[in-house]
Amino acid sequence: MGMSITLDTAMRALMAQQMGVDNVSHNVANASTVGYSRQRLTMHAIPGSFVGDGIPRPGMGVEVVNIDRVRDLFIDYQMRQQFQSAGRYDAQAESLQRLELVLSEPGDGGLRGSLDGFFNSWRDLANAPESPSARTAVVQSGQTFALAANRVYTSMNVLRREADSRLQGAVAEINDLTTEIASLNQQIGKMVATGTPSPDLSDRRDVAIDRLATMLNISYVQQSDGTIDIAVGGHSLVTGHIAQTLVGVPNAANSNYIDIQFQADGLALNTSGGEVRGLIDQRDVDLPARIADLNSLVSAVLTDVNAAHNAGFGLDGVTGRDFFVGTDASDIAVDPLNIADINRVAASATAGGVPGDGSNASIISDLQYAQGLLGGTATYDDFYGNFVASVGVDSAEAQSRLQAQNLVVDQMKLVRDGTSGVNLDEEMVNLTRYQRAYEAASRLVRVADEMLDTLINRTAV
Amino acid sequence: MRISTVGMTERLLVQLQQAQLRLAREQEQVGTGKKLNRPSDDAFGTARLLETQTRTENNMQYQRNIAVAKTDLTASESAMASLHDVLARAAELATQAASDNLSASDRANIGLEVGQLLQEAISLGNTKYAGRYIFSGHQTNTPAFSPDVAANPTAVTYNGDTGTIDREIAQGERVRVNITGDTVWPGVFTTLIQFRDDLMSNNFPGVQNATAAIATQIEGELNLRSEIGAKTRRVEMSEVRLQDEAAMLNIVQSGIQDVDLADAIVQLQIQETAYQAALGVAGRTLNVSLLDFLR
Repeated sequence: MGMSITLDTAMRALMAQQMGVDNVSHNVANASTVGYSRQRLTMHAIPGSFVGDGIPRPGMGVEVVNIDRVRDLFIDYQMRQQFQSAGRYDAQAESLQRLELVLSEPGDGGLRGSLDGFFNSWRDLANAPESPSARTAVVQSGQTFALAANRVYTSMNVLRREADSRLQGAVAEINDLTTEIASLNQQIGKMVATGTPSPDLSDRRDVAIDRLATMLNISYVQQSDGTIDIAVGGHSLVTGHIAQTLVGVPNAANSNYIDIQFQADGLALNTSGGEVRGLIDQRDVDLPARIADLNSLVSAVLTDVNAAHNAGFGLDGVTGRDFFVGTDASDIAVDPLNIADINRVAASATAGGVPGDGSNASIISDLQYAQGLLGGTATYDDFYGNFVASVGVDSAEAQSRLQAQNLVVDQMKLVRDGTSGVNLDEEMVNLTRYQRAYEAASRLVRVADEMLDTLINRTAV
Repeated sequence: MRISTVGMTERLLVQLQQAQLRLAREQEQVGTGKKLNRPSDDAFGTARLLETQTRTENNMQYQRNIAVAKTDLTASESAMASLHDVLARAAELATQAASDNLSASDRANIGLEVGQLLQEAISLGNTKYAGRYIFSGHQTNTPAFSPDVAANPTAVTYNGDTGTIDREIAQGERVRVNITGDTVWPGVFTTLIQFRDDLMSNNFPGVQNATAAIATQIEGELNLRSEIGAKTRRVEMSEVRLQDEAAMLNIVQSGIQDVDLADAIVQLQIQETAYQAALGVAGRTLNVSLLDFLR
């Protein structure tokens, strides 16, 4: 009986070391696979059979009882908390940086340059009210200012529109991710039920959950059957093998931008973090507030200049005409009639003052110094300076938050990688270890063979 | 602590990227010469910079306005100076004509010259500068004065109004730069017409009164010119003030946005060295593996 046990033990050892080599090979092959966790064999010694005759017997070798991945689930949890902040700041920082480009301040190409140029053109007109070229310059610089205001307004709305299309993309990506997680849940559940571990599928699911965490403020629970349930804002997103599909429904009351809802019950998606929150905040809160500020500035210029212009007289002696048409930054323009006939520009304060009186032009240029905004404390330039500075402050803050957040995420990645990543040197050492053990086990087979040879061929005659 | 092989290369990559980012930032500063390229670089500085830019542009506008004001004042001054020459010559002629031993025809000859002086005075009153009749008030397209008879005027009408023309020479500060034709001019014309007619008709008492009448006109004309002189000095003082302010604004603006080049270049070199060091580390460590030693 003894010899066959020796051979069996040697065979189990060969198989176990073979699996060890295979495992090294799997780890090495996936050394640079995203989200891969190194896998580890758990080997147990098989105890000798207990017969009850009091005779001690050696153990029966080794068996591989498990292959599992080396993973710290708490680090995963912590990282996903950071991911959703990083995703939110990322959306915010990017939008604000692009807004800075739109404003193109400090520089001569921004709204400030055209606003100041507009008032200085009135000062030139006051110097030469009879001059057609000074009148043309006033009309043109008015048009330059109006176009600059239109451009900033349009570009800010383009930023909103882009946030919206990124949200539509996010909805599609979230649906892909939840579908993938649900289907992985199903496969993992089956394998757990049959007792076969599935570390590679778990890795794939973790990659998907990581990505989902940058988009939404998710919470998740690992169930005993191996599946993971995910919820967002108190609403289930994935339960077992069922994923809740999100849909973007255009909202007519909000420029046809989408509201994100759950398809099944029509409830609104509610997330306090992640890229989705950042994008919604930019689209519905931050940018609209800044557009409203721009509009108050441009409307004030438009109304004040028109009121003063109405009181003046054109070269043709006619009074009571507007300079600008429109209501705010979206549609301000110089009245086309004034472009067609520059004599309508009201430089004179009295009918009798035509053509040499430029005092109404001076009244208009003095509007630049009137503190009519922010409750009578700010000039147009003050207001605009505050407007630009607040974009700068918020952008700088979002960038530094994002940077700090990324630093934290990078550090945590290192910690996670320290636990789960493949180290090739370590794998080489393991390979050598399994190889030597394999050699020793095959040597056992030969020794057992020689012993059987001795027993069978040399003793029995 | 454990580290994975890929983690090591990733960490190296992050370090390289950070070194590169810092290098790029320094390069932007040295390249543009500016440390403030967008509002988020320095939000408070941006607000101050915008304010400084507005003040600089308005300052330049006021300097342009002052240039206009100075030529306006010069145009009035030089016309008035020529008027002075006319009146001074008339005063000379008045002294001559008041002499007892002149015949009627001698006085008539002087009268002819006074007639010429009158024509010159009218044409000075109609001085046009930069396309504008400068003594017409707001009626800058209308000649200020028209004689009833072109060859031998007996009356001169003022066609302008009393409109003032101001130049804004600093924020909220305006200087009137025009003299309207209703000031000394009508008196000058009537005095010259009267003098000429008295000479022609050999009205000796009238001729004797001319000297005093002309002196009154010269006094009025000199008063106006001294007023112009005072305004010119005020405008010039404002110009000096604006030039000082422009220089000061320039320094402020440069302080907010310009890079200290020496400092920036040193920083750039430091970042370059750091980047090279990071590259060197990457080059060495990436090539080392146990595989090189297991044979």
